[in-house]
Amino acid sequence: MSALLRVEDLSLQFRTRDGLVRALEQVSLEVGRGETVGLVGESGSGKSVLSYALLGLSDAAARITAGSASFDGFDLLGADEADLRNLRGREVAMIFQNPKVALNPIRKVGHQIEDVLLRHTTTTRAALRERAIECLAEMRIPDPARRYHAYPFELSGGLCQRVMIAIALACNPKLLIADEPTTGLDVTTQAAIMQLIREKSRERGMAMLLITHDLGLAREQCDRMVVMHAGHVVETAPTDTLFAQPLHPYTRQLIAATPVGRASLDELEPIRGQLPDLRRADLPACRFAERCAHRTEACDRPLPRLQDGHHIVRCHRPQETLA
Amino acid sequence: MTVNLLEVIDLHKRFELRTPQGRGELHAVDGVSFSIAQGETVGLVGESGCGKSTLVRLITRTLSPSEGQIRFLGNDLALIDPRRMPSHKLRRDVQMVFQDAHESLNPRYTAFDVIAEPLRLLAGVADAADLQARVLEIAQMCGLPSELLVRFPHQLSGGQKARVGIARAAVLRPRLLVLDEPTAALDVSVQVVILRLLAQLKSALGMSFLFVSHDLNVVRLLCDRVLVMYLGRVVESAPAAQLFSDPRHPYTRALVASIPGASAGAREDLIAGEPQSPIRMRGQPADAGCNFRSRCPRATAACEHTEPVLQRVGVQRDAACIHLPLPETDKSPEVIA
Repeated sequence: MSALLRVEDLSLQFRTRDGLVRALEQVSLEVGRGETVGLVGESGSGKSVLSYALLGLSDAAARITAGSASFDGFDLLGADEADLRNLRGREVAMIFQNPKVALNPIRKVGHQIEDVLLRHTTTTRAALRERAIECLAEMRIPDPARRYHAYPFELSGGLCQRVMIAIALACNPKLLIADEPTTGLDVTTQAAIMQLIREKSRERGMAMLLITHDLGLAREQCDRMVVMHAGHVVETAPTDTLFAQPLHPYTRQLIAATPVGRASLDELEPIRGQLPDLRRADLPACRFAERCAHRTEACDRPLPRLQDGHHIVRCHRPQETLA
Repeated sequence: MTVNLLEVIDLHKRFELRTPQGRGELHAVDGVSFSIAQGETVGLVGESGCGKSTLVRLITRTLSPSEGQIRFLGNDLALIDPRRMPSHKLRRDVQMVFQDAHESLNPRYTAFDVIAEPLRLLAGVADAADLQARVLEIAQMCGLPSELLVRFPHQLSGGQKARVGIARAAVLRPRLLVLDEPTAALDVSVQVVILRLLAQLKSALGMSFLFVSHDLNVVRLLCDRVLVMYLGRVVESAPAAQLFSDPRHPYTRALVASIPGASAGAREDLIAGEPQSPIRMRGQPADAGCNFRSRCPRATAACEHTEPVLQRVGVQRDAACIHLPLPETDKSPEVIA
């Protein structure tokens, strides 16, 4: 089966006043059709930079230095802006972390849905309003005909996120990139929103790349997980395997630091140190080495790519470091 | 019998509103009563908009209550003039750690100045050597190396700023520390360190905590007892372990079922929709029913005209729902006799 989204050895740099920031290095990942993949890691690990780069939304200071990315056979990196515009919103949609900021504050939410429908579908102007209200209703927004006229500030965070999802799903995309879709929402709302996204993606056979720092949420939602640390993908595995048998020391530490399912505070283990400064010229081959308790001289060599079925890990001694 | 450090009795906070539809009142805190014992860690959970932050601001007296008492160390905090509170002697014993570690630090103060300010203002420490010694001591307890103390907030990492905020609140050795989502903005890796630091400080300084959070996993690990708020009222209070293993109130059940990784069997407890408005327009009759009924999976006709009160439903457990069976404690002595 060919993957829907395939990223290979992607490297990206930002030019800044303080020098080059090597934000992504040799990042590879795949998302299959209808598959839900979780992208996890601490803030600053490059999760959002990666998703923006895939959609051609990177900051002007960013430059892709190596690698390739394709969506359904279409080259994302070599595409011109017009082609990307046709793709974004129709084939690949994205929902953002803070719905109140991502929506246009001075436009009625109904009109914001119509914008997408007009641009990407054959809906006629006469049928536009009806279709937009339908989109709102599908997201279980109560009283959709009235909410059509609402501005984002009149809606709660949960409702705004539903509007964002309505906009994202209006054109039946094949892939949804969800960047921390429930951060800042209440747990009850989070549960309802995630249930809604999952239901819609099942109905439509839509694939999803779920970016989150909440391992508990990723574990519940995703078929497969990709763990990032300081611009590297350190481990990729099916969700159950990753939690049962994490091979990279960083993955193990990340799991050990997560309070889900622990009985007491003593069972939690902090992760030593911080992400390395990505501006440094002398970044080690393994960017986790300086925080790793199992570091040896071998860690200065270029990172290997060890693969066992669907389980990929980028560490010199994944087995040996198992306690 | 444990001594109560803080006792909140029937506390109300109403905000006057003017809307195009007329005047009204927003009931942010609507008759809350609870107590915190000496050395106890109490968690406060609930959705955004349920009144958690207003309650915290009432207890720390940055807001004045409309009604009710806040008994603390033999005084009623509710009676203190808010203008006098910043320099009041009780301010030393109630300190607060704020949600956003960056926003709550003065950008033009070094870490040292931030931590020294409460000592100068509230403890009257004027001697430079004494000040230095006390700041260094608390910084060390909070895991802040002394070389970081000369830095300004923008030169510190998120975790370090959180430590400065905690050191500032703990330097006066308050009896009660109110923590408003202290780890919400932190990564899991740093979160663990901060949670451990809080647990250590608590046992070292013998403080009580009121820990406000919507991360239920964190609350479960840190707190002895948990209060659940819904629309300005406490709907359940229980020891932390029991609250999570056996939630009683339908809203608490929904909260627990919403934690990612909750068992699939708990799905039926999930709730949809949004809370009803806490605003009552002038002239409108008061709603006599349960304010959770519009979202409650167990709501019946009785919920529309019976206001649930917080009552004992088990050992150390209170809940406000008319459908919960009350324990049959009164009968047992007769049976034995």
